[in-house]
Amino acid sequence: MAQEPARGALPWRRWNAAVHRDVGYVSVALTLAYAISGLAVNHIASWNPNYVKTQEARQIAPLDRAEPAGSLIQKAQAELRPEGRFKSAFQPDDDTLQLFYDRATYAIDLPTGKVLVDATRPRPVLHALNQLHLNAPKRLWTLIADLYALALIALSLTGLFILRGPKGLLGRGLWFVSAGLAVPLGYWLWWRYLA
Amino acid sequence: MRLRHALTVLILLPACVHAADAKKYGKPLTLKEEVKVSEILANPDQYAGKKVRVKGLVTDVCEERGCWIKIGADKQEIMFKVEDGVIAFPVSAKGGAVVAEGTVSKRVLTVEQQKAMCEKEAKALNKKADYSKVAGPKTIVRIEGLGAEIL
Repeated sequence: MAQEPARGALPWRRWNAAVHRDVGYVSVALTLAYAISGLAVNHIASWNPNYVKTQEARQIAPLDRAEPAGSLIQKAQAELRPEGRFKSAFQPDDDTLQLFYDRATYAIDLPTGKVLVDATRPRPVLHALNQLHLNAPKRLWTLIADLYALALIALSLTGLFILRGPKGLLGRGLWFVSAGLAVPLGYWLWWRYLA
Repeated sequence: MRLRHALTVLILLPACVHAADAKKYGKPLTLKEEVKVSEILANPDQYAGKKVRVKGLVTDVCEERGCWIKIGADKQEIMFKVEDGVIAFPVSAKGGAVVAEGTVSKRVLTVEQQKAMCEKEAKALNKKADYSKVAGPKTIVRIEGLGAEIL
């Protein structure tokens, strides 16, 4: 945690510390939101950070594809008794009828009556964080995200000048800043030219 | 045949809902004339590089990033791919009526390219590469999406 500069310090250092402190307070919520979402999205190859997906196999009586669509849909609905609001139906091929509901999709194999129920529901909290992270809302959120990025720049720059002396930028701080710079720079050079 | 016609009507019904109810993604739609999905898939060379407007149902959505949807019509589906982060389609769009615009792209993948993609995918998913689906050159026709309205 940053120390308050001594009373005799130059005024700009007091301003610097005050900006760092207050911008830091304001940025806490968004930093957590972006960091948590970043961790989740980083491992997207291993899991779905947005939705919980469930699949269920069901069986209904075979349906005659020669029947009118409305009748087919009604018969399938009567047997399946799906929850939620019916949205639409689609036939990707002669033997398959898909029923789209707001909570699930039912893919019916007409000749056999086999049904695959595919349901997805958003992960609580994480879905919302990811949406904000990926700027799904656009509009005003773009401005807020830009302001947050500027706040992070301000935090990093003001953070450099909080302390003076051997623990400041010209002492221990220089080593840590250099190490922090070396990690992305070194990794990029390795990845670009050696990996 | 009857089933196909009836389903077509069923599919088009949601599109008759007032356009004001539609959720808009990306750039505003500008074209007036629609091209059938089946027409594009049957004549990819004719449409490659051209901007088109298509109408259908959202039959699938990218669950990870929302970076593509599949548009189904006339018993056929075409992928509508958007740039990551530019547009993010929600899974709730599945089953909705869609009107979308974009540029048709056609790409032929050689066997070597497909195998390389298999290896890349296997590496990303930490699995063994599966070449069983690679059987000669593969043509991929899709729409590079610019904007869409989904009911």
